[in-house]
Amino acid sequence: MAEEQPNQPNEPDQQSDETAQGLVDKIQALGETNVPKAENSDIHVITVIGQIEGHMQLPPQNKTTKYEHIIPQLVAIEQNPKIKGLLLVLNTVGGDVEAGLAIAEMVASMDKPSVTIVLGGGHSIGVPIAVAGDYSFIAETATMTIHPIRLNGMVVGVPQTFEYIEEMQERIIKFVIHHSNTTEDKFRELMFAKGNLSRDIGTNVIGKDAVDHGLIHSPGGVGPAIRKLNELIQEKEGNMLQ
Amino acid sequence: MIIYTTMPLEDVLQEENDTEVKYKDTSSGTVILQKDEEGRWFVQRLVSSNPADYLRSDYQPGEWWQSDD
Repeated sequence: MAEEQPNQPNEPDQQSDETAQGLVDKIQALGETNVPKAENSDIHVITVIGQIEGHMQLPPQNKTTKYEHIIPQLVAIEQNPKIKGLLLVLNTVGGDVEAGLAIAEMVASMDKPSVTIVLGGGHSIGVPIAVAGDYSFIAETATMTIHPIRLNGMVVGVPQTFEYIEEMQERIIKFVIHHSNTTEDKFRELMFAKGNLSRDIGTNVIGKDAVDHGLIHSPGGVGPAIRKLNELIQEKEGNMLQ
Repeated sequence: MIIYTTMPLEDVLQEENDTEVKYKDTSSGTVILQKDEEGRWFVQRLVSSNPADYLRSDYQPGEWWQSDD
């Protein structure tokens, strides 16, 4: 780590004091003094981190990914001719069902090539987002927790509430099986498995297991993901020329 | 609203905390600012789909927010 040299003399004049202070601040904040500049990229990246937030604002101790930030970005990426593809990076613990499904539907319906990577975790409502891209990757150590929806909030009519939750769950299951290579039976089995999670029913699939279950296309990180995205972009451009 | 998450809901919905954040829309993405104990705002996170924006030195997490408000 960068440490201050003890023998260096202090600059006497005011201005270099300020620049020195700026540098020290930068070293403290980033551990380095400068970050490289780059040209505009034709691949755009969206990170989905923490809780996915929809209709309700969550308390600020949550790290959140907001619906109102992501959806306009997806629209902008889809309509901007300079942008060729989308890389979606996930490390999420889940969140609002409708916002999660909205993001997943948006990504799935884009004409531009999209590749998703699950790094760390893509749990609960992160699962439909992870499978929404044209191609999906999961880091070897990343996990995805598949579990049934739980109830929060007030229950007015028990049968109606039960049906509503059942429907919500069906929407998630349908989306995942339509956009991945897993089967409905397999996914339900993972979702309702007993004994895998200590406090819940469901399954925690790790890295290659997610590929074996057909949820994710391939294990890998950012390198293979960008390579695949470039491949998809070239394929699409080749098709357009023909 | 149904929250479908692996985190305990009591942690997600817990209201008691003193983290103060605000959002600033800029020409290159939305910057999420957080207030420190001395009342200064610093960059917590940038929300932008353009990877080049993340290389701007004034948008790096931990940087003091220089703007007037």
